[in-house]
Amino acid sequence: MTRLTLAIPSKGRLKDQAEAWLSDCGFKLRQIGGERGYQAEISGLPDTDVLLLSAREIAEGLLSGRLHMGVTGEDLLNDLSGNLYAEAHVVRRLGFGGANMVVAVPDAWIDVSTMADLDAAGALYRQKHGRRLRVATKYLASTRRFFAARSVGEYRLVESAGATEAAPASGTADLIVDITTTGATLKANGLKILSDGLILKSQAALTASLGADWSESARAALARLLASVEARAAAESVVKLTAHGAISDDTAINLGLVDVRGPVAFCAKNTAAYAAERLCTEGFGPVSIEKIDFLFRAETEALQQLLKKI
Amino acid sequence: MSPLEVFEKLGGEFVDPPIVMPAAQPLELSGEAVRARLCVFTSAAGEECALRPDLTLPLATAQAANGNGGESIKRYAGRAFRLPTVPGDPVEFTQVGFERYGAPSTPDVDAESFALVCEAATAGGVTEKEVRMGDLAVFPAFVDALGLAAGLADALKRAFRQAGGVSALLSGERRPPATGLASRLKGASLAEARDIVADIFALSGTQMQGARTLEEIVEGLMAQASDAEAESEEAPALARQTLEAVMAVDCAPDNAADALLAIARQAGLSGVDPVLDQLSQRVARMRELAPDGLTSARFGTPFGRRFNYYDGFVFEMIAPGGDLRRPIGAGGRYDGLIRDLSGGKVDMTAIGGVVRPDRLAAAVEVRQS
Repeated sequence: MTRLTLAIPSKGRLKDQAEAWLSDCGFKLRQIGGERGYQAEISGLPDTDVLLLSAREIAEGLLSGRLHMGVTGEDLLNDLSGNLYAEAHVVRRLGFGGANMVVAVPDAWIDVSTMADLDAAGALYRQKHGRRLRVATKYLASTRRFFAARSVGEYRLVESAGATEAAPASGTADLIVDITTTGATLKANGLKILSDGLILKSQAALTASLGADWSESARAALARLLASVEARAAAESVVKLTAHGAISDDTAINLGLVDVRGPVAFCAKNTAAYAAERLCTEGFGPVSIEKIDFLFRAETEALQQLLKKI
Repeated sequence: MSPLEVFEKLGGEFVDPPIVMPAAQPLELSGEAVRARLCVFTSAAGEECALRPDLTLPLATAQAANGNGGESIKRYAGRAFRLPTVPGDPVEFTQVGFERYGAPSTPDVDAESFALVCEAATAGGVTEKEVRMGDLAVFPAFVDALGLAAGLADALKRAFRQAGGVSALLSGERRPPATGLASRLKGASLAEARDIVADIFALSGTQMQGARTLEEIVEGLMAQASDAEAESEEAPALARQTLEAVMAVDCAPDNAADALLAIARQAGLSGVDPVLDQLSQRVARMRELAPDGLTSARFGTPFGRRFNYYDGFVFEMIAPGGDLRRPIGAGGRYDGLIRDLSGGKVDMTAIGGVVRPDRLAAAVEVRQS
């Protein structure tokens, strides 16, 4: 029987945030072999192996089916997969690791502010030099797709291994396609983002492989993982209301209360104060509102959706 | 007679150019879009190489290097390599064909080339054919005749090569020049404008990066300014109607020139007549030389635009009921390629045609079963 393999980023902010998110969901990581180990034990999830890998390796592993689950960037998944919908399933966007994939050109190109300008500049350049403008990027497929969709053909790709934003300054390329969070690095390197040059908004996502070997035990571990993840996520937007006396069905429906049992009900966070006030006027006061940490339900919808695809 | 023997009638020389070429050659010529089809590998020194995707390109490269030498004909039967887009297509296949350099660029030569490919396909066992053809000179001729701002005209000609590109461009919002600076440079000479921009860059600490020079940037800026001035309100509306009508022409080849002429008259355009005359003469000559090739034939304006370096008559043929993505024969004119490849040193007309023996054999097999 195969165990569930779950991969999380092995270094940097992404690692810290993924670890914090897991711990928030009730799963504590302990790296085997100390800080530099590439495997971890996870408390609360038996039958699960946790691997620490680079975000790119995780995306590759999910697409090839070597990993069951992973936390990685949507940018990488999109770039590496020709058919993401059939190869992987994004279970949940995690709200961290946010970044935009953008087209950026040197500040000095004051005649280029859109993709159409870029094509025109590229055509002029080719006429003069018999060569195409070079675009440095790690995201070859995404770049090719985006440029084709914008009818921009006047360019050549240069695969960048390291600091892409330095490519124009070092002369290995003329413009870049790269990931940016604040744009500060681009700015520091004298680059500007084209006004219609946003290729993709990306964030870290808990993603399932559709090609992995989903044995019974792997599915069982998956159910356990997703139940907690979804319960934690559901608790973000819901609070617990406790009234004085059993809440009637009519009142519950009118106020948007769910899962009513006697005096206790759940309610969307942003309407809770209003509901509490109304309950008081209808004679159910006093009413307390409590934050909750988890909201487990009998069925995990995200799990059902995923099981349909694997 | 075999296809090879059909092309032998042309005379000329039988050749086998190098299989391996620098990947930069097809990529610089046709752009990144072809990379998906190209068999690329990297040498130990890090140089990207490609296997020839057809024989046209290596032969044209040789022609560009050898210089002008009057009319010449090259024939071949050689392996070519392309990553398949249709599942099951082979990566490696044989092309039997010819390239004709320096012959007059006339409807007669176009029709002769078409007739030869038809005859070769017949020799390969496919007597009935479905033909699709186009003329890549038609769209640019209409764009020029419309008298649009130079920048828009150039953008339209580039967009023509991309699926959906023209209508996307025409329906997009036209916008004023990118910066107010462009309009303030109006009337300045290129050198003056260059000095002004250089001063601004010096003050703002803007650094030059990459291979584009300050002159090129200023030139781009001034082109935008003159475009914005040249553009009248009605021009884009008329251009849009006309070019959309031109793109939509899809008819029997005999009606193509008339259909396009009607569009030109409607828009009050003169200047497209020479191209349309060529088109109608070509079809008439094709009817004389290869009537079997026109029994089931269509002309479409957008046809052939993905053939990157072709710029005139283009055609493809399939066996009846065959897969459009697997033509048994194809050909076309590329008068500008050798000039581009030689950096303007050699200017030679060129036209070529090929058949695919593997697909001919498959078509014969399908018919027999």
